[in-house]
Amino acid sequence: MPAERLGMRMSRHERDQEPQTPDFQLILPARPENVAVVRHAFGGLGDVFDMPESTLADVKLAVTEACTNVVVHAYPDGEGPMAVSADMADGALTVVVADEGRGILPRPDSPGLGLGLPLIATLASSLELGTNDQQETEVRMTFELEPTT
Amino acid sequence: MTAELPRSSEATVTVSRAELLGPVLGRVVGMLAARAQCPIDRLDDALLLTDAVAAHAPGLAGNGSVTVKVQTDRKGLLLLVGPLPGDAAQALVAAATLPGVGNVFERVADEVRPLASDLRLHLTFRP
Repeated sequence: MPAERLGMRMSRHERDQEPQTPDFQLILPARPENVAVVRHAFGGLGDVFDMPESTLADVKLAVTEACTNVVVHAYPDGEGPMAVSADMADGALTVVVADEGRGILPRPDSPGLGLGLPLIATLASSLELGTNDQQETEVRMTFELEPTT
Repeated sequence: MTAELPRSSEATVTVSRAELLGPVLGRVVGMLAARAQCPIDRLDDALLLTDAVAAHAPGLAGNGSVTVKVQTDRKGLLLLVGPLPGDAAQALVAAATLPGVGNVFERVADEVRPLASDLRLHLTFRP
């Protein structure tokens, strides 16, 4: 299914789009057990930003899917880093999951069902797939946060 | 049944919002320590260290962002806080002193070593 039909954009993320330092960044080896570490860390963000439970659940699920994609697809010949950053601005949380792997390519032998990116596109307000100026593959998700009442 | 020995784990946490450091670092250290089969009393000690780092490091970081490298293996936990400017590593150690308790880092960690631009804290899980 074409990415555009899933509400995704393919783009190159320029450095001038980025804040100088994200509010939070976590870099880990792209191993299966580290996906849970990222997910747990986002619980801390949820506490600090006072995110509604349902929104936090969406963020955690989307981030889990993006990190799982890195673990499964990014480094077929070994291991590499997985960087997750988050930035809160203007009532929206932007999460970027980046890797130094081979990029987002069609993979006929994929072990998964191919539901990860469509699921992220459904959960996030916006989703962009691309590369940054360091040639790292990025999945960029934005979540509009509803005020807690 | 023989338990598989956990392999070493590592993570690097960087925050530019001071209030994020405690909740995020505590969770990351907690998970990596659990994976290393850290005894529960030592896990409590590990979180005392992360709380002290989170309380004082943001105020001493030169550019407002704090980076903590976390490494665990079966033997223990290593926290590397930095880069810190000037004498900030020494100042971070000094700041972690509580009345009636003493210095939290020195009471809890097995090694407290201020380096040129980092503070190295090591906690042993088991001999």
